[in-house]
Amino acid sequence: MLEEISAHVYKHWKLMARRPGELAWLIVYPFVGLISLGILSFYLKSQGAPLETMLYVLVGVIVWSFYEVSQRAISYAITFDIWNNCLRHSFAGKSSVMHFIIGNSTFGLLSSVVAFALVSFTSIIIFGFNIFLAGFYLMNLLSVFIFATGMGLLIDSLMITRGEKWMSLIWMGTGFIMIFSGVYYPIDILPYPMQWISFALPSTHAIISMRAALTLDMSVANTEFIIGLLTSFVYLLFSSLIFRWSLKKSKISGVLTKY
Amino acid sequence: MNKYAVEISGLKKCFSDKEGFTWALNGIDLKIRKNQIFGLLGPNGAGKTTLIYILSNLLLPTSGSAKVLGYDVVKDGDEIRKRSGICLGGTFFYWDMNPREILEYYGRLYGVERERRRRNIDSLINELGIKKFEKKTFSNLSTGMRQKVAVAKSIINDPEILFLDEPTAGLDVGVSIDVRNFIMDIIKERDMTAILTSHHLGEVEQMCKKTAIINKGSIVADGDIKQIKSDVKIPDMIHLYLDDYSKLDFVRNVPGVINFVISDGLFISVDSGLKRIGSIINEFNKRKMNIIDLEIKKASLEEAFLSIVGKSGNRTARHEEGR
Repeated sequence: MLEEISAHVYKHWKLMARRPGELAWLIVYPFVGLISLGILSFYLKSQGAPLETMLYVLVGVIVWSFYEVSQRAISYAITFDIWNNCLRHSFAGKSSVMHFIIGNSTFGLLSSVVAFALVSFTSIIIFGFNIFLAGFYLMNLLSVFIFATGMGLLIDSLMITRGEKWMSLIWMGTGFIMIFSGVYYPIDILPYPMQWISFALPSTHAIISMRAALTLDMSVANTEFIIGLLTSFVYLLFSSLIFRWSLKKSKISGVLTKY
Repeated sequence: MNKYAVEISGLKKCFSDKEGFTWALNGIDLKIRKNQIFGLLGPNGAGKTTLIYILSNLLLPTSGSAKVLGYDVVKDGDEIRKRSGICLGGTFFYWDMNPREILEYYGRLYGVERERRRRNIDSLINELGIKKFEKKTFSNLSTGMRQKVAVAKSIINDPEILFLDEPTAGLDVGVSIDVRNFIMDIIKERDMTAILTSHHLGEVEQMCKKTAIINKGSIVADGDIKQIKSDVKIPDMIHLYLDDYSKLDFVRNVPGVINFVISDGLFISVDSGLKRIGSIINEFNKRKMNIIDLEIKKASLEEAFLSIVGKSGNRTARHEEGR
């Protein structure tokens, strides 16, 4: 079982090592995001915005970097196979759907921890903001990781059943989730129906919990942590079933053997 | 113990798109015994690759049943994938990985444990002559070397059954011979079963004793290659060089002769070359006609194949009935 899981980690590792552009996703983009939005928060503070504004923005940007890198590993598993025209070989072996999910998400977790460490330490050095003060509530990142894995699997499901035409959804999907997760603003400012969508996303609860923990509102931090974690498992279960069904559908339609 | 590696009954596969639906397989019935290389011949679009994909659990059939090593292709896909290998002609792998990394990745994906994986990779790289190129990325390999990597990948897990879909397509003669010999040796050495699809009829004739000819999604002939050739009754050819080509009308009356034609010598078509050669030589001797040289040409699988499927395009039937 370990061999099959390690295959997926090995693939990501080798492809990342050979493609400098892949390192950009892990290092450059999270770093650029932190710097540009951190400066924005400084500017807002200088214009009289409360100190919490800076906390809002920096928690959002750090958690979101973690989400993006986590999701990218699993959604790019299929993308790489389609680009390299070897998708059928990835599903011709002994490796199962479970191996696929665990293997790719393991790489997602490892790479997102690297990105998180990079932006968190940069944030301490440049902006004097220490996210590690959230202590136990850093576990909210677990909900974010599980949710990102689920979303990545849904994107994989679309690509495996529809082909490369749906690749742009990787970025589109992430963008839409960001709007509803209240990454840079409280979700109260969204129109009412949109808030319902926000409440349904584990990422929203994880971000609220982290912010609450840093402002010492422990009751909210605890409640939101539990809701975020539970809903993230629901998403993962649901998307795993969808992915399993999509693989079967792809074997019926022949999309799997096209690439 | 089941003596068959593959048992197929009434297997059908239909693909649908906006334009309608296509029956790629139209009710295949076939049994393939273990420990042999079985040939699957057919024109483009006949359904050979579809059948290989179904047997390797990369496609699911529309109806009918198929068992590989006793496992059902629909219900027991995991067991089949664990025990099989697949090599596709002109296939691709990760462009940025080198051959050793590609084999390492697929070895892991097939669950081959570390020591056996290392041993298998080393021996495959040496035996297939990949050693010199093992550090080059796949994108920088020649077509022949890429195909050798594909062959190596297909047996990295020591499969019990190997699916070879045109493994020498697009390769030059030298590499084709290398790949062919390697496959034949390894299958004999390991007592494996292989199913080979090929356009290269000579290749099938060389590698397989038994074959099936598939056309328009159906099996139109199967069995021993010699038997197929004799069943379709393609005449043998006796090619003679004479010092005088006049007065040859008597040839028509020699028993077993079907026809004759003069063109760069005398070509006589007969029902059986070996059976009739004696009486033909006697008839020439009786008339004191000198035979300078002679050659018997047996009917080839290619001629049998063309006779069965016809020379015209034999694409899969497309039913434009809409949905």
